[in-house]
Amino acid sequence: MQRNEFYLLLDDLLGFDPGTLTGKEVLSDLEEWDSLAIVGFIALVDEEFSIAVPPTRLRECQMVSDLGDLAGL
Amino acid sequence: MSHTQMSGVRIAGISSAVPQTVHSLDEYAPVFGADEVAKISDSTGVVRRHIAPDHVCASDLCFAAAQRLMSDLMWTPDSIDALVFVSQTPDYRLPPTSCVLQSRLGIPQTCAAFDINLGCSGYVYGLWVASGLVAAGGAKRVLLLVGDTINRVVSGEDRATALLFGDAGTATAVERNVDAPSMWFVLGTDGSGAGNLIIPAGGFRKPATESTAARSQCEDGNVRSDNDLFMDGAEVFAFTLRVVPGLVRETLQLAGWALDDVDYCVMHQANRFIIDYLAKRMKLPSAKVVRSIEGFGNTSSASIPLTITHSLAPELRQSDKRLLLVGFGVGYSWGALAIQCGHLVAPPMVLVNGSATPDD
Repeated sequence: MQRNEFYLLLDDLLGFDPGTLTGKEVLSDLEEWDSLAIVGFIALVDEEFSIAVPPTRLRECQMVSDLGDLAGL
Repeated sequence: MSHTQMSGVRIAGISSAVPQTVHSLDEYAPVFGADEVAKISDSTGVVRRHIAPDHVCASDLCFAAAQRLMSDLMWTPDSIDALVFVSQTPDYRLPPTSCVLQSRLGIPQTCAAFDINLGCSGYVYGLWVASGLVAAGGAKRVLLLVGDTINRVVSGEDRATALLFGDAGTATAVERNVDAPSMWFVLGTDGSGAGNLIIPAGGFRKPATESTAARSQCEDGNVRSDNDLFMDGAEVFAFTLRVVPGLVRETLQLAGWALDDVDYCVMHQANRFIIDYLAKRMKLPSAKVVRSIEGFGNTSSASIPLTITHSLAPELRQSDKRLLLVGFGVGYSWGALAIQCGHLVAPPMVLVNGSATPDD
């Protein structure tokens, strides 16, 4: 999967229009990145990449692009 | 994981009781905002729940469920050899609530009684113990009472817990029957996750004091005290993904069942997102996955028997079904049971009104 496809999945998860996220956004600035979104993200990475994301590492992520690193992209 | 095949034991009946008062999540709009409540409800699947008033305990709900079940089964109190109470919200730190219930139910002094402190996995563990007592010859009839009033231990300002839980008590009748089909259990534990679903204070590690009762804003933005339930939803979800698919696989393997052999899968009603995601991961058809979360919330230890009473009682009264029961959560602790059961006595849901007291 390419990064831009991954960001489209994140757009969908967070309820944004397709193409909104570019990776440069700061997660703490996104109101939509809440505890429900975090659980949704863990499910998304489990489903799409068969990767178990440890929540402690997820909390260390600062930028949207860091989430792509966690998904192995 | 611990594997058990149990023979010569059957479930004779299951009943559930909930407080009469129904609370809609809308009541929380002033605290969290209407949009936030709608968003949480959309994800967890909880729309309303039955919440016990402060003077009604899990034991009162279990008592009502047990009275109805014993009456419908025509089980006389003197025919019950053991009473097991599974809960995390007992009447007292001591004595055991099971002892109080033995007396309230009029069961003679010849009855063995004890408590088990487990939550989400508690029903499967309770059935494992109850059927083990019967299989070992120590009891012909066991009354398994499983219930919780978790709303008593949550902060109303913690969005992770305030909108999730319902209160309920259940009774399950377990008895010797040489012709009963085998039951297969798989159980496990990972106490390294203890801190992710915990009431930190009130035990002997950290006794309750004025300061543990003081609520303040925590790191996660929620307001609670150390006397309140804390849940790290992301950690608990990651744990269920790690453990439950393998637990189900092992249980089916032990029973010699294919996924297609399962008529119904009743999972602990953690929340709808978790139930639906696990079902998808395990390729369980949605029609086989039974839910009660919408109208009752997450009822902790009671969620599996409550869901059976709510959704499967008519079918289980008439015929035998192959059920897969899966509990997972606080501890971390987990257990699954593959069981063919039916022709049960399964009374309609018992509603307990707010005036219920131990003197009733």
